[in-house]
Amino acid sequence: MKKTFGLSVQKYILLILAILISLYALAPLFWAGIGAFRTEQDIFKYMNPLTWQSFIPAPFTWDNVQVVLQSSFPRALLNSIIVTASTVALGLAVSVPAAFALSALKFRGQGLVFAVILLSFLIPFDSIAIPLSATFRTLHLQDGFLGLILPGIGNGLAIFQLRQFFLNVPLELKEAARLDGMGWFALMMKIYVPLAKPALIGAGLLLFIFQWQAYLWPLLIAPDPQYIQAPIAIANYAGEHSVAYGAIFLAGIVTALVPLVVLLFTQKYFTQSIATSGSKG
Amino acid sequence: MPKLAARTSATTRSGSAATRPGWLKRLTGRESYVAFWFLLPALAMLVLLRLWPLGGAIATSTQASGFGKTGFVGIDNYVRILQDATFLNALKVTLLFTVLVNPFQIVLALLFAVLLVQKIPAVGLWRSIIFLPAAVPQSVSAVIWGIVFRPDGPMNGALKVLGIPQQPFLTSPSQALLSIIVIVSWVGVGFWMMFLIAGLKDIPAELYEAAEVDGAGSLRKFFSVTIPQLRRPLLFVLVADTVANFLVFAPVQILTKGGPTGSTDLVMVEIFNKAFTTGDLAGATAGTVLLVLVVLAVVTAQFRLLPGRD
Amino acid sequence: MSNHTTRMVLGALVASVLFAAVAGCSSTGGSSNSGSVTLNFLHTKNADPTWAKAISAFEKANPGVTIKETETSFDDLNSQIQARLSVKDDTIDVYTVDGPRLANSAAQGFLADLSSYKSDIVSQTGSSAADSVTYAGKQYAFPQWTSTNLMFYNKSVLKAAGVADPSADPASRQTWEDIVANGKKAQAAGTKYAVGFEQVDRYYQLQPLFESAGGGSGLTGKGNLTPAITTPEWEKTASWYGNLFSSGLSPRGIPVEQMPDQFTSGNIAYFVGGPWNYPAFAKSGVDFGVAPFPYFDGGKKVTTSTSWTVGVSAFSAHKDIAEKFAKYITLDPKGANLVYPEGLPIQKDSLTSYLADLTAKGGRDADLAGIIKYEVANTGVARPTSVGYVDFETTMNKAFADIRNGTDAKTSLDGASTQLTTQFARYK
Repeated sequence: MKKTFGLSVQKYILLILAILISLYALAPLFWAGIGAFRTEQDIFKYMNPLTWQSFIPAPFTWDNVQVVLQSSFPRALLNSIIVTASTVALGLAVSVPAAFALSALKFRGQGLVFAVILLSFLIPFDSIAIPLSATFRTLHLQDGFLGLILPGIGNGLAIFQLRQFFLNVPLELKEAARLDGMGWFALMMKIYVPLAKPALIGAGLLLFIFQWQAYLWPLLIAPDPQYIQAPIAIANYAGEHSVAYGAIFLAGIVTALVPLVVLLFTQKYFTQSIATSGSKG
Repeated sequence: MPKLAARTSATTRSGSAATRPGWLKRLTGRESYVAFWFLLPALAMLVLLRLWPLGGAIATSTQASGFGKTGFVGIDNYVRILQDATFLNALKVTLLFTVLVNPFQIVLALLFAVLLVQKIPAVGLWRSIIFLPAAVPQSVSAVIWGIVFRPDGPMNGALKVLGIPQQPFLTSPSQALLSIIVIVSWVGVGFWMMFLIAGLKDIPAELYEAAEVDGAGSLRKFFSVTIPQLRRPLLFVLVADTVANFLVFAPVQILTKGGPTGSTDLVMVEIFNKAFTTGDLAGATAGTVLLVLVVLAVVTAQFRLLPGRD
Repeated sequence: MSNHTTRMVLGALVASVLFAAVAGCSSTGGSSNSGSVTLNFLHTKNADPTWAKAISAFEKANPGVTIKETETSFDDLNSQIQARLSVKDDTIDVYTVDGPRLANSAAQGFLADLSSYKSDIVSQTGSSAADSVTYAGKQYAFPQWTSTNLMFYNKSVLKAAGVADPSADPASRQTWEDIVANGKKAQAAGTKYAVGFEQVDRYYQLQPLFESAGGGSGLTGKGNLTPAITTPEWEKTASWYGNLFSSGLSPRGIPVEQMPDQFTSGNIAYFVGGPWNYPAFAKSGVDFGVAPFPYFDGGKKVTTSTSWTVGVSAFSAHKDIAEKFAKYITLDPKGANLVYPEGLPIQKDSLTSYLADLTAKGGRDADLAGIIKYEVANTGVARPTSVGYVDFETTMNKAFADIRNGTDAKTSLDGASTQLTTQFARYK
């Protein structure tokens, strides 16, 4: 069964499967991406029955690119990147020690702390957004980056996720390091963090998605056009009596491509597992 | 030593408390002190930005609702929404949605993850592409899928090529919820897959080798090695996905507003409409508290019944 | 990265959050005390810079006053207002108020009382417009625009089917019975759909159907807080509407925003829309004409009316100047005329000049002007004034969507009626 030839056939099948699944993920975006280069009148043509024009934007137009560039979207995208990147950095700085404490340390009240963290991510944020926005206003946190970033930093899900992976770190490593006289902070940074890089990326994704998809909160706390976020700038392409679908598609896809690029660069860390890196050190 | 440690850690961990070396016992007091400082920033954030507003919401839910009415009314708002046929239907639809969408998403995410940890050319690219839908703003993906599912839309166009008759999708009470499930899964599966890939990468290759020596086939290896070793990430994904799906509302709000005939009316949609459309903040907070209780019950059950919480 | 550096970086990050949070608490807001005032004007997103000219004229006439515009999509405006004003946010000074939502906003205390301007409102916009901004005997906004609905028809499609063009003269208005019969002919001649409503599941555009059939607005009683949607007139009209879709005369599953495209693509023979559709239709190159909104044979001739008004937030810190600005862009003949209307201007001079400009263009534009002039003066019916209107509209829109998707009209209306009774209990 494990002949070289057999393996490569198997690999081809797997590759084809991977491509098929990717196509399923891409198909709706592909259709929208074509729409981004169609004129407004053509967007809803050629949907059914499918023809060659369903797959090629003919006639082709740059109009939507111009609409998007001249709208508040470029600024909004930059704002979203600032808010999201800060949230991921600060959120990891806050979540990693908490997860470390929950998995590597023994202390009284551990169960209670874990319960608080669990409860925190069961609460629908949109439901508490109205009273919280009132509090933020009395603290003068409205119309600023800080007000946008803060709610994203406390992410119980990220802590829970990191904890689940930190628990996989062999206890013997911790004990050996402590016997060598290593401090707790060093233990976290030198043993736990390097061993759980995929988990860190996962926590980063959780922190990222909260802000990248944030809609209601920015609407309430930062209505100032200066701090507009990408999803809101896109929603503004919908006027009362006309909707710029081409611009919505284009800006939506661009918004998704930013994290895609970042994610592609993090892929190499997914090859490192606790087992393999453990054997090196 | 580390290799061996990695392999046996899962089994020795629970027994380690009994055999804890002496130095560790001495340090327990200090560990509490260290833990306090490590936890402080995160707990402060969670208490101030989540639990405290939840407390506020509970307080609001006991206040009178309606114009010109004020004052404490106890559980009146809870009684009111629990007697409201619309809200009860929303609870029912939400539970049905949860029962359908979570297993579907997790099985798909696991299958995709298992596929995408194999040594395939450009595997990172495929992973990233499958993740891509999660990064599309929800309002945009809802609009795109709304068009895809139009009775005269591209999905029916594709079905026609395959010789399948036209489907009503979002316009039919029997297909609308399934269509919403397809949409939120398109968004969610790639996202949760990433966590399972990270978990699969954590499983030591030696365990598979040992299983092979015992003569285990692929399927037995999957159930005797992969699933047990993956229990912690799986529990995380199950809990997180369940919570996320309880809170879904944007695609429904944009595409069906809960219809046709209430078939996609999720609790979160009702809560949103009470808070942001009709100004019934008391009813909305009462709904929120009930929803949190339901989610809490489900998540607690998941913790109790499944391995991987330790 | 050495252990030391990592620790420093992490420490700095945490410290910066805490510091920023503290700094944020202690810094004061951007309010000014040097004689200059910034007014925040929140409004829906429009295709054109609707108020730009009026704003710069106002700023010129009032040195030291800056108007800051924030635009938001239609759906988000209502949620923003509800969420922000329910916690007394003082950073909204002036905002556009959807006419029928005014009573609810006023009852919640969101809108400043503008009763002192009542005589100006009546003299500039007429008494029925003044009624539309009145709740519990007080005025809470300045009428800005009104609206009407009409019927567009595809000339080439009708020609191919051998159907005569409907007249643009309101005196020879067609009945729905005619429209459906002619639409079927067009469909038989190859057009995809006979009739299309733009706002397929919105009470705003469907109200005239029920009014024409004698069913009334659907709300009665004290404060319009009793649903009256299970009458024979309502049931008959609702099933007529449902039949349009079940018999394939109208398309299912296409949302409001995508309906105009069906007309410009030539898929629909008769299209019910508003003057706001006109510019896009003219640009698209579809060969179309305009006709008055139809009525049921033997029924009343009714069209829609009312639109956006401009209100001042009750929590504004600069109410005087905010009122002055809101009045300038609505009631002031000069100011109102500088606004590029997204709806039909309601200030009498602006409406006159708007219609005169349109009539002067001749042809189809003059037809449109004639229809608008007649309907605004004679057939327009406002949506019911009620604190429960928001609940009513939300519930009715869902019921209309269900009827369109094939739910039995009676079942749907009975369900909606029960729901409304539950919802209205809160206001009684």
